[in-house]
Amino acid sequence: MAQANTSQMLKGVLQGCLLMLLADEPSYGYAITQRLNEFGFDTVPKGTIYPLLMTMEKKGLLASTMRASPDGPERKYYHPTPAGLAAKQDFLLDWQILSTNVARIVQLEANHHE
Amino acid sequence: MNEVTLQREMETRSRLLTKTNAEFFGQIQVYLNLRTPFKDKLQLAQNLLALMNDLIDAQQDGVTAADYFGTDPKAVAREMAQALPWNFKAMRYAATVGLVGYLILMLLPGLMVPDEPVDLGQILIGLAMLGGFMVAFSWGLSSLSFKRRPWVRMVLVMLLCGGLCYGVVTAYLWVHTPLKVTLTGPLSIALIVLFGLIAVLQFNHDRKKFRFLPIALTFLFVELSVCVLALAMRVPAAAAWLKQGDRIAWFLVACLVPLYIIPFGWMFVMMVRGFRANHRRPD
Repeated sequence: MAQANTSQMLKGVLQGCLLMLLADEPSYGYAITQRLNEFGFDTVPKGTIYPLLMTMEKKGLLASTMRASPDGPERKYYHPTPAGLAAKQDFLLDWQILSTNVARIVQLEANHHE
Repeated sequence: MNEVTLQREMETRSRLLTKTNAEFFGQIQVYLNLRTPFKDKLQLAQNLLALMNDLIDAQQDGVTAADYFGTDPKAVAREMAQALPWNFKAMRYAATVGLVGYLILMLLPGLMVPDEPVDLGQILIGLAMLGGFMVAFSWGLSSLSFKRRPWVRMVLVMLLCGGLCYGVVTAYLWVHTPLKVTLTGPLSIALIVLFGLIAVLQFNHDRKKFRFLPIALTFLFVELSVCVLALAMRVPAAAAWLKQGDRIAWFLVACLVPLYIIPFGWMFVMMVRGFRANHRRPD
């Protein structure tokens, strides 16, 4: 149940996270999933990343190029477009407001328990 | 890289997948190909190749395709299909090729016999039925692509195809309309030559898509054989010779033999290669 709740919450923020990761460094599917793992997103089914990347590309937030990876085979490297970078800024702003509001409510809950 | 190069790359790289992972990837591939006939095929090929290369990497790290994709691969494939952009050019091309190809296949046999009226209404009703059949077939087959037991999938596909085919053919044979035209003289000859030319041009285009080569070859044989016969029937001396005994039937048999041997032999060789490649895969 806890995992289901987490994945529901993640769905909303994954797009913002991907925009930030890809703004930091253009990357491809598997490498992105590994970077997500490094940040503790190891419970996210990696398959869900692909439709999300494709949808973001369709919306014009990401652009892609096929090029050889350091390991050899052709990879689809994604990078944010100017619209994607703007969406990243919007996400950061929204996240700050959301996290501040949630932190205040969590603090209220903590105060009740004291 | 174009679509064909990407598909060839995928064929080569797929040998690195284990049996289980190859089957898993195959299900996604079948689903996406059947559900996205009018979507951007280049993007589809790029995404499938990218996905396959990622699965190979995951496999090397000890992660199976099932672990990588989660418990609901069909949902992932469905979302991927929705995320692919439409390709209106491909849509127009497929509609034109489908319509012209169908008209050639349906009109040519009628043109074999000079002065024989052609039922245009029957042809149009048949077109609507065939369109319905193809949509039902694609949706049915793609829905079955994630069935766990391959034999269940095979039986269901055969039942679906057989039932739909039987329904379409029976309904088509029973339908007759008054919308009949008789194509005679120079117009019929011009049409036969035009149909033959279109058949050759279409084959020249399709032969680049190596997977469809046997099917393209089959259509070319049918269309050219009937074109030659239809033209011969309009030359008095040739028509008189052909009408003796069972010569028309023998001519058609002579055309049908390579029609079956070459394309189906080709498909058989490709199938055997596929089985062998699958057999050599690591577990």
